[in-house]
Amino acid sequence: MQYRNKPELQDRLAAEYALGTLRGGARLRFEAWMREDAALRRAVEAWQARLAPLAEAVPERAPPRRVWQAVERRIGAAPAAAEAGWWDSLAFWRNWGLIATGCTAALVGALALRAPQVVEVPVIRQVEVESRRMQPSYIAVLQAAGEKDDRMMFVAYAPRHSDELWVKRMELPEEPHNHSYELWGLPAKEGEPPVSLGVLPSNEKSTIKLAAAADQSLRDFPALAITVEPLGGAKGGKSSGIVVAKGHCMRFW
Amino acid sequence: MRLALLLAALATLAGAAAAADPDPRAARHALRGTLVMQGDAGVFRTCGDKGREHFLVDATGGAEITAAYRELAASPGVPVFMELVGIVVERPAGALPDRALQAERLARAERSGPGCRRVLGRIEALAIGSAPAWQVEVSPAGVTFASLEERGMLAFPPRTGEWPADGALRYEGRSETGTLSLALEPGRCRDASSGNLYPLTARVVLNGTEYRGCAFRGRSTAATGPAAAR
Repeated sequence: MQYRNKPELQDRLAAEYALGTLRGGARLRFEAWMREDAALRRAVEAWQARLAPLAEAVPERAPPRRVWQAVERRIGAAPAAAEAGWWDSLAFWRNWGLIATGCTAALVGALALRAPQVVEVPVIRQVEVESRRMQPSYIAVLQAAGEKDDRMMFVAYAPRHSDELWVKRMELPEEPHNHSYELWGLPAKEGEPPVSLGVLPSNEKSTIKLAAAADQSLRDFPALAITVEPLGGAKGGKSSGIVVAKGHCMRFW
Repeated sequence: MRLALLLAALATLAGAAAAADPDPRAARHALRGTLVMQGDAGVFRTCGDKGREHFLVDATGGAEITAAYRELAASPGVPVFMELVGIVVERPAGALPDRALQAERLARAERSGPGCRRVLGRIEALAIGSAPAWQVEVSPAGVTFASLEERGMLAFPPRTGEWPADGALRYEGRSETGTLSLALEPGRCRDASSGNLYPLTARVVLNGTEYRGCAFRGRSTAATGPAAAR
């Protein structure tokens, strides 16, 4: 392959493939090339690992009502607006589908009896997994707690075996005067009190030292929240302030 | 952990090291390697099995190297491939690393790509771009355009003459597959897909279709002045 000695081009193609911007014939050619080149597969995996946290960070959005209604109409889940003819009748197409399936099965059976053939079993190729992919981590994306506000306020990330939680403020406003933001782990069991994970430094990017490795400190918390507390953090380890942001804490492995 | 402690210790020395004035007569070297930083302290390790570690002094004026590292490294302590031009200074006996690099120019910084694995050999310049991904390679053997689009790989005759002193390069080539023109201009260039930084902007016109991207010069031509690439 004449492209093999062009690692810069390979890297860009891998990036475009992972992003989904490599299309058409170029994408098909790249996939064919990837099947026979382990280094190229590793390059794609590296890009997918880089891009995965970005995909996780995108907040979930509900589709507009009109889009949902259109989907319902298409799958027949919503009543039709007007009287439908036999062409639009679900019963007609269901019966037609049964008859067509029966005919197809009979035809296939007849052909199979007339001309038995050796069926080629597809070979499943084992894909090499690159060891440099993103390490197993906990990732949390916290959105504004207000009902009509879905801004992404805060992103946190901790490798599974690390006791450092990397945090980045997105649109989290400055703390009110003489107050601090505090990060809490919310236990899965209802009624159990939130557990403080630490006071947020005021920098845009910073780290919080966890009490133990993330696997111990975060595994029991399916969600995290940020509250406004007195300067330096909640007194007695009990949250007293309002919740400004909350979100799921996910395992990424 | 060891590296973190080393870098933390180096950070305290950074101010003193940075204060040293570079000797204008000293040879400038173009070095390729990986930079690791913690805070404001960095260690630059040159490529190769016998790569040597250098205490980094960011002498670019605007802390350009430090800023590029912070932008491209996924997190502190992660190596970023760079090509730096500057003065290598021996440090006092017993100091680790035993050399310092007073880096005056950031030629290239890459978060992805072949990095130290890439042997440029006789390549004089490489221009690259995205959407769709393409590459133009300039070497004494000729000029090639490669992409995965329908055109595939096209070869054109070699260029002639010295590399212009102002750093800009113009090339026009014709073959049975068509015409290609290449214009490389000095100026900081950021690759759209990777965020990598390059010292040249590139404009390619292949059979009437324009491609814009970034470029860098090969190992043999990267250094300026009395430098010899290490």
